[in-house]
Amino acid sequence: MEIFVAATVGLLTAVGVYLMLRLRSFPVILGLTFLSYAVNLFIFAAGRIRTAAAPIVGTTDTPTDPLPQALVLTAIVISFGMTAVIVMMALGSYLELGHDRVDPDQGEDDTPAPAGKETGA
Amino acid sequence: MLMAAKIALFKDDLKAILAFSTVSHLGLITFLLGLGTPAAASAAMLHILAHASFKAALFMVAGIVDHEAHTRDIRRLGGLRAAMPLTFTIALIASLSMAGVPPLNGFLSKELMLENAAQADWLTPWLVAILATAGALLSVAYSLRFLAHTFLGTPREQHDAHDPGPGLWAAPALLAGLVIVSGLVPMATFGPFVDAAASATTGTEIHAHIALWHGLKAPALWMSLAALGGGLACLGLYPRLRAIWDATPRPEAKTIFDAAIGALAGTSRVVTSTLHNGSLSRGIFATMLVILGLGLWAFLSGPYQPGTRAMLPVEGAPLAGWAVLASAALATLFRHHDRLLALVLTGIVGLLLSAGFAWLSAPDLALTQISVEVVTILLMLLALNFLPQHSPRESSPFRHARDGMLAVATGLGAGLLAFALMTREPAFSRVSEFHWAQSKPGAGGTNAVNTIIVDFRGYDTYGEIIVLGIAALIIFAWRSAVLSSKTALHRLASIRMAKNAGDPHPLMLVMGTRFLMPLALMVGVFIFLRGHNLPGGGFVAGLVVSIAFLLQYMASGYIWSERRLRFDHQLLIGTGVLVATFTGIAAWFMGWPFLTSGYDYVHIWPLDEIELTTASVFDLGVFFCVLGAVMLSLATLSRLAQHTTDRDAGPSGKESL
Repeated sequence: MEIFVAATVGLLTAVGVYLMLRLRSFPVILGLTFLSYAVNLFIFAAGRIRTAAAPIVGTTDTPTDPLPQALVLTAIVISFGMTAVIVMMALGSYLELGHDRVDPDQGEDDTPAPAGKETGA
Repeated sequence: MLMAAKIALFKDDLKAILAFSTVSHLGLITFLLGLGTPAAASAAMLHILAHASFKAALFMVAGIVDHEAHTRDIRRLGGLRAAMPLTFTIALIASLSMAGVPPLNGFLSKELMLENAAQADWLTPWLVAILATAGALLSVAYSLRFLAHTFLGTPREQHDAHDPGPGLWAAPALLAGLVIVSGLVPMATFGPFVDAAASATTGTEIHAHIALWHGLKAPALWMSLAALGGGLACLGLYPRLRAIWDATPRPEAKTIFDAAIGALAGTSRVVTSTLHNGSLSRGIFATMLVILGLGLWAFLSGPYQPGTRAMLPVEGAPLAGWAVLASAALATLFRHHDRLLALVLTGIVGLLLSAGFAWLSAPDLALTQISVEVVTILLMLLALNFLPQHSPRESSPFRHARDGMLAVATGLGAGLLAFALMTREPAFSRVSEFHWAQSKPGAGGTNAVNTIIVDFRGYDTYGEIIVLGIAALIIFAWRSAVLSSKTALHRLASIRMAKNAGDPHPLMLVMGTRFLMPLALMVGVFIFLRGHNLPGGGFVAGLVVSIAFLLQYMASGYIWSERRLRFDHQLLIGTGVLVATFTGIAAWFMGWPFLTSGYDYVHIWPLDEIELTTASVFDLGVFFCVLGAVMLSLATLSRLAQHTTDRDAGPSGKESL
């Protein structure tokens, strides 16, 4: 099964990188989510994979490595926190600028700007 | 050493002469240390002492001259000997010592320096000796110029200078005395210091032999004489040398430095503005390319053998799950323009990932992943309410191909790396063997993952909940910024909430979630309590309780739920961090380091034996922090919703529930 776990890491990385290179904020956030899936799975897999060997004392004598699990557990929660921050930032820039492009070079508002002179400021 | 000595010779400010001569002498000391022999090391130590005594005296002399003659410009001085006999005597002793004239202490160290240089063999046997002699020669020249052009000859300008009071001359006079005494009896004065310092420098026991007279056969004597003669000649020819010096262009250190810095700054500006022009995708592309290149380089520069570790057998059910995961990921890739669909597909990937964790013996990870997945997807769904529902197709075919190639290359790299890692045994014994063995006896819990999080690596977790708290506070600050911006408020007001469903608040969903609320809270408490021994813990419990609240927001609307939620999220985060902190500090009172945990078993009738651990209190802090962070992001979205049109007051518009 190792080859499938590795393929998952590869696929998630590829999807993540591709989406992160898109031009709108929402796909970029999705891409980041995919990339953190990939990274978490990679770190987890670095502990080598085993089935039916949960690291709980008393249930097994030869447990799988608990340390990568502990690291990934906190990493999952932290990546949630970071995702929440960038979701809010994307939302803020959309509300402020009227478009959700991540690159500054081109572009007018997608939506007609409402009355107000600070548009684009 | 040579360069600074040459510069010192052509400076006009007394202090500048002395300062450059100091640079030269530092060069001399470094040169001696660089020779690397014990004799050279003791010569260096002796010169540090000798130089300190005569140079300090000379700086004070320069100060006295400046004080009396009101100038330090050597071109305006001269003939001060008659007016300031005492100062002249001090300057005479000190500067002759600097020139290396016997029997003063500067002579001793200069002799040793020349002696060592004569023995050094670099490129040719005599090159170092010639350079050292040239250094000594220049040193004689500027010492004598300092003395002669200040105190001898005829006065070039009228100064009513005279010797100062003893307050000013006592200190240099003392030093001048030291220069003479240590020159005459070096072994009794500087000997012990030199021995101690040189022994410490070389790491071996050294007893230096310092003497004035080494005999006529010593090459140093002849080098010294050459230096003295050459120095005197330089002084005699000074006006002519000066004319040559002034006429030749010379490199200015400051210009060279400025040019070098300017070139560096210019290059970095070009690199920065090319890579970092504000375009996120360009920056990410460059970063990924560099990572990929480094990975490739690391792979190609080492030997490679296929791994030999036995692999898990391929099983049917996991394989089916994998197929679904892969299809969902690929579908996200191709359908990402439809944002809602992409989000749902992402959720599927996350859920299957958590199933994978469960299958691969990581129940804690599975629990965390599934609850984080729910929270993340819900949060993004709520955020999508305010964003466009579709991404326009605007990338050029070239861009698609370019990004696709980079994505495939990074994916291949990451996948192959993971595969290579998994098919090998670890190179070192695992740290976690200790955690496993100590989980029960040391931390009092049977769930090794949880004991690592709250006990063995508690400090790490402590940092992480603080990061989470900071992230939540950023969101809070962001909310204040957006809600005070007129543009953003205008745009919010123009957003109409999507109304795809006929009934935004289906009665079944509303009532169902309300009944589920206490149940979900209970599950949260249960997961929290079992965490130390079985899969669960503060992180998961916090997420489960947040989901209970999130459900209310989903079913009954932002505003309805917001009105009924009466606790402050920032307070919750702060409480979490403080609870964790105080748990850590409590260990101090027991005389243990920060965050050391303790545990005990108690009996409370009619319950079973209960284990109480301080780690559980720490986990409670984690719980509060996670709950607060999730709820704060949610509350932020609900605040925004209150500024949209079609304000949604909740199920059936009634406020009585």
